Amino acid sequence: MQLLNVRKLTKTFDETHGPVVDCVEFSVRPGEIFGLLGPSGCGKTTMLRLIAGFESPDTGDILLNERSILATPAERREIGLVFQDYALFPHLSVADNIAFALRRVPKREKQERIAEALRLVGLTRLASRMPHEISGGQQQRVALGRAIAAEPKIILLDEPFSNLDASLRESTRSDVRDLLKKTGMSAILVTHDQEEALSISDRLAVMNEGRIEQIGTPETVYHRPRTPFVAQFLGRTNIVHGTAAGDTADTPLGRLPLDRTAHGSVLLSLRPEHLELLREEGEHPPATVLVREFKGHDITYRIELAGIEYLAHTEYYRSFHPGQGVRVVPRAPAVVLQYRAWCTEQHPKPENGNRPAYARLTAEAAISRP
Amino acid sequence: MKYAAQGQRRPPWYLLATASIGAVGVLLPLAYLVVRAVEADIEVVRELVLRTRNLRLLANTLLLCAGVLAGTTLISVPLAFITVRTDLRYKRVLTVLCALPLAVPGYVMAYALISLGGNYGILARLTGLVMPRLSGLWGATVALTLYTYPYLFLNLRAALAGVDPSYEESARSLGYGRTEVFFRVTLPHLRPALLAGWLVIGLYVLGDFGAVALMRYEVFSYAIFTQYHGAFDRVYAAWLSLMLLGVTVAVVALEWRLLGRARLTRTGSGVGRRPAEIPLVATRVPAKLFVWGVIAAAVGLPVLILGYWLLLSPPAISPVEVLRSFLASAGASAPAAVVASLLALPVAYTAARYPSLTARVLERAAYIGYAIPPLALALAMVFFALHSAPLLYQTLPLLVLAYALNFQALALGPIRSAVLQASPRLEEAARSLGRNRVQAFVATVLPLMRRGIIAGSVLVFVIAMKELPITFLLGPTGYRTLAMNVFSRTSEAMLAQAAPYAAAIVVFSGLFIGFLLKYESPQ
Repeated sequence: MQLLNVRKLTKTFDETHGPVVDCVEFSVRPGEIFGLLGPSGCGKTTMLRLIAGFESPDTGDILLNERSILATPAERREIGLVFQDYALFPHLSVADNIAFALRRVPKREKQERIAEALRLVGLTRLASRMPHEISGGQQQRVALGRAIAAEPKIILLDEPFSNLDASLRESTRSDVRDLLKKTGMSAILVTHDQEEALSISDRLAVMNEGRIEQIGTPETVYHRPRTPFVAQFLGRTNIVHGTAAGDTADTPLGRLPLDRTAHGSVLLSLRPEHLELLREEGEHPPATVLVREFKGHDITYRIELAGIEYLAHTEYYRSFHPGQGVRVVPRAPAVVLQYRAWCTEQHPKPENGNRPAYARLTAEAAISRP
Repeated sequence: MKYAAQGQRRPPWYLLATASIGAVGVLLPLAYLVVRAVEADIEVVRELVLRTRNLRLLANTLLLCAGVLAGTTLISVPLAFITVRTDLRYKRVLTVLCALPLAVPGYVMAYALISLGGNYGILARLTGLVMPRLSGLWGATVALTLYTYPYLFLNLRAALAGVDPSYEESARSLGYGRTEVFFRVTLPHLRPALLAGWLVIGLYVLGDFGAVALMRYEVFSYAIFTQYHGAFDRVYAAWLSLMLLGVTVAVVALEWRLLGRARLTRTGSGVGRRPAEIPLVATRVPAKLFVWGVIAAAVGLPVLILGYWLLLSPPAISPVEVLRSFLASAGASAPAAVVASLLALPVAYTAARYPSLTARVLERAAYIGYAIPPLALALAMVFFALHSAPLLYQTLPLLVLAYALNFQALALGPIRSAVLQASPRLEEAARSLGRNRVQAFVATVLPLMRRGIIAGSVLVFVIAMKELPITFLLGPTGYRTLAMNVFSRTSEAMLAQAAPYAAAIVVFSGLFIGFLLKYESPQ
């Protein structure tokens, strides 16, 4: 059974700019941490506000436990929300902020529930402090504790780590994940940070220009991106044109194995770490090293082959120098990409309004010809 | 940190309804004013409108405006420059002293000037020198200039402190001298502040009644009053009010036009670097003389006059009498302050959370209440009450309502910035925790707005305490506020008798000067 179902949700603020959320569909399972990843302005925060009930969609439906909640006002949806800036009430102490979530709880029980929530987020000592007297990480935990104390069906987290120092972010991230898992709470986490989304989510959706381009486990989305945008957004990649014939495709890098069968003209993604560089030997086409970036644990090379630039990561001990001739050997099958997935029941957008991401991305990604 | 509202959501109907009360309250009486004016016989109207007296009133009104604007500019520009940019010592104290005339209403300033000159004036009594008593255009110009220049001075100070020094420094490095830099670089940056200050002062001069009446200078507001009060010609009074409204609209429109272009040149506020202080060398003595001269005329003179009457020639008025009058003023001003804040609260909230055309219109309507000459508003309220609510005519509630409609814009400023400083996320957080819109507002934003609401209310209270023309037209029979006592006794030449009431106003207003400085100067 799905806990939350989002069905073909569309929201437009300004007709001239097109929909901010465009026919979005996904579902969240009980106990799952679902990541919503995308660049700023892709519509993910609006998505969250639609679910929370602070915006209403133009079309589509949102089901919680299989019942539509569109007509339910925000305060009765039983959906918790943790804001980017935490939205702690500045005139209330830490304990009172949590007590705010426990309106319907009888007085006797209330103290116990507050103590329990504080214990859960590890802030028992700070109960009487005011929000401005505690650190950013602690504020974040109070906000989470407050949301959990209300016992919502699901918690929405809007860029929850973006206001934290880089040093604090990683530890807070695993704290939050542990906390959600310990309480069995389902959550949707919105972020623009791909590393964050990959590390905290059970499953994630990649959003771009109001649409979801791919949904899957972090591993799937990273290793087998479906669209050029997803391939690019989750780390650097080489986008390669080729002509497919079943399990392989002919490309400027030679004949490459594919992750799934395809025919005709295709667009392929090859992560830099899936390209190996060898000294000139074997049947692979010759290439030239252009630039070398030493990164400690590995080395990134920009190489040129038949007038096109590619990125390749090699282990630190395989050292090449600019100008050196090399051979490029793929280590994993190339991933076949498709054009953006259009919403099944909707007509594609007009060409001038919104070009397919494919054209734009290949210009940046397949990298300029020298 | 300020928060803008997200998206283009519509405000709930009950919010719009409450936010509209203030606007309706201002616009409805004005409609009655128009109705009253046009329902008269067409021949009568033609005769009233085409009187040459109207032209003279218009000329006098414009002349007074021009005189006061020139006078306040000549005082405020150097004063602001000296107190912001030079190395003169005690600048903080001097600034407060220079802003202090805000506590001396125009009619008290006129009263002080009238007391000074003439055969039996204080100057003659103290020194034997007989100086002609100031009156007419000159008297009104001097009285209003000395009272209103702080509005311009405070605006200019804020603007001068906000000019990025790099503009001036780059002009200097391009070979311009200090004077040239001032006129070519600094002054253009002060344009928005000048225009804003001029607008406030211009509106005040158009609406002023006390000072012009005491100086016996015939302008529109004075004529409205004499027509209504002396001649009981209400149709002519209504037409004069409409003409004055026309002048007011023209002034506001002119300011908008000029500001439209000036806005482009405005620099961002909150520049981190402050300009270096200019050392005064040869100009130190003239600068000091100028600053102290202004303070002596605008603060020293009224204090001296009041001190003279109270100490050397104490009038036979018991303190109980003054206290009763003070309580009469407060009895209307305090409820007016509460009502004004209640009117402003939904307007401020709508404007901050649902920025839209509707919100802007509602906000503007509140400012109309402040911009229209008080006598015109009072007359409109009279017609409205006589026509629709005769029981309210000449009662305290109507006076309170008129004050509140007149001054709701003053409460709007502090309340609006208080809403803007409370994040809408707080309300949304409260709603996600089970509160409806109203509960969420009361639980989270209202406590944070307390300071702003108090500030807005106190501001209205202090200004309403000094109010004269509305009180004159709408006050219940036998109702005598401090301002009315000062005015009527001065106009009957009982100068010593006016002193205790005038002193009460000055002392009371002076107590709030720090407050005014904090909230009336732009941040």
